Amino acid sequence: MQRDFYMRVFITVLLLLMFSDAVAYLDPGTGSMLLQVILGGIAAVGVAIKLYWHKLRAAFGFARKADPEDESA
Amino acid sequence: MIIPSAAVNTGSFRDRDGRVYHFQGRVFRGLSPSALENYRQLTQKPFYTKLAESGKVIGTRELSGEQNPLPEDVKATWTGFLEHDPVPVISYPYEWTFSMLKAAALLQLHLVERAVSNGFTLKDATPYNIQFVGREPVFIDIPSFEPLDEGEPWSGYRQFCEMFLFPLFIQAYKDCNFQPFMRASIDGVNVQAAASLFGFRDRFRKGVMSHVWLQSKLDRRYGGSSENVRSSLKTAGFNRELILVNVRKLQKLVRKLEWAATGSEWGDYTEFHNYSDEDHVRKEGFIRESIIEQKPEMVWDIGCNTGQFSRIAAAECERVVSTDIDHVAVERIFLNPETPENILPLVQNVADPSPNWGWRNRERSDLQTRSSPDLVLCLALIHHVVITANIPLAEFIDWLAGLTDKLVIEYVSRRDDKVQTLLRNKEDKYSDYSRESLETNLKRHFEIRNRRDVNNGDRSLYLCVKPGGQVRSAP
Repeated sequence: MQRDFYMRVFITVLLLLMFSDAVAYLDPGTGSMLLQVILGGIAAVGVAIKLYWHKLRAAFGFARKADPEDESA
Repeated sequence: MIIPSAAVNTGSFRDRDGRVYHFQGRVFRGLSPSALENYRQLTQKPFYTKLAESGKVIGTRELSGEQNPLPEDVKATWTGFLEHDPVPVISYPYEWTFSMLKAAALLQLHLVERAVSNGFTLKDATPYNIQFVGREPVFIDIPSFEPLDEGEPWSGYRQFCEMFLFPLFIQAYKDCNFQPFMRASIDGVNVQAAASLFGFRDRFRKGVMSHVWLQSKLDRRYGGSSENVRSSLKTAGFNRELILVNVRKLQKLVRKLEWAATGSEWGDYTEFHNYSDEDHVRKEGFIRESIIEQKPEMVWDIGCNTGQFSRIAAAECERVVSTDIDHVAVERIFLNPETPENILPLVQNVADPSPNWGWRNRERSDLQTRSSPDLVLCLALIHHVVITANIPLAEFIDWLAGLTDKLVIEYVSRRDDKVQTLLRNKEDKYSDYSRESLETNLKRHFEIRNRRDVNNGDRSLYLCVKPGGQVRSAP
């Protein structure tokens, strides 16, 4: 229980560091979708780290262009 | 020859993959090619069969072309058609009690848990997709089930919070009736509004920190983000286990939510009514005899309190809709194990009833549109309508006459201590509140078939029937 709580805090911090505040169009579900990672607790740590890692790579120009079509290929 | 037209359900427009039609007293749903394919896949799944058998989802079958009685123009619009079992009386979350909304929330979560565990999901999470049949919640929007796209989060989570969880929090944590919030906004209590309602101290109540506070923070920070979070989550390995962890925690959270139903002005009425036992028996007898004599199918008990007279009616007719302004009283009917299955208890204020509203004011309708009473019980209510709500007596009787052909109404005289209490601090401008005025107004619409005085004549019961009044069939 205690561990799960700390994991949630850890994931929250990661997520809050992650995206920039770019205002483009109203997407009311974005925050709620991210919250679901936090609510996943321990089970979601891997997902949160991966999310953060992709962002970090992108920041240094290492990210490949993600195309959903390619993902399933 | 005139071909009868099918009535489109005016509240079913949001999902472009289907539409509900009412025709010849039956309920049909047209489906797009993808929705039809989803439905066929769904019916192959044992988890869905089990849900259908247990009555948690409404009885539904696919119709072949020959079985489909709908007009040709409707048939041509959709690829396939389902028929659903009709719901006896449609009700809305702003008419439910706390425990009814809680039961609906637990059903919604159960369906998501079952679906996600089996490779399906529900694309939305709104209490308008749930109805009460007997006293059990039943899910009616079958095309809400669709195959789960692995890696996608639960798209209905936010809606679940706004339409179920936050209203339940408002009642359980703030002891404030949730119904006005649900009637004020068709989309429920939005995340930012909930965050404003729950202060710093509330953040330490179970579920508020994460579902309200944190969600509002993330929503503010990323609501306008151009990031495709859905795709990022998928790439990062989001999976169904995370949805299930969240849903199971929500189930635990909702189960534990309790509303300390206290402080009701009328909740103890049955224990403290000012009738002698003998008068009480006479009153019950009058109601029972009237209903046996008039043989209504559908009875409305307006101002039902804790439902003791609804139960008498329910024993002699097919269905009773019991309404009261008092949330606590209606909650007691819902929770009382002795309440029969054919009573639907709803929170409703006669002076401020459910309106026609939503898109084009036709998305949600008033109760009269959804249910038509053959007989109305209006017991010990008229003094509240005239003296408390300031509605002219003549207008009230006009309204009742527009509602029903048969009426059992109780007059409470000015000598009665309940009326004395109401008038205690008011200037008495209610010259229309008298027995003579009531009888004159009743006679404008009805024949008074029977009258019985109780409490030494301080209270009188009238059975009124419209001349030539036929029993109207329910829609």
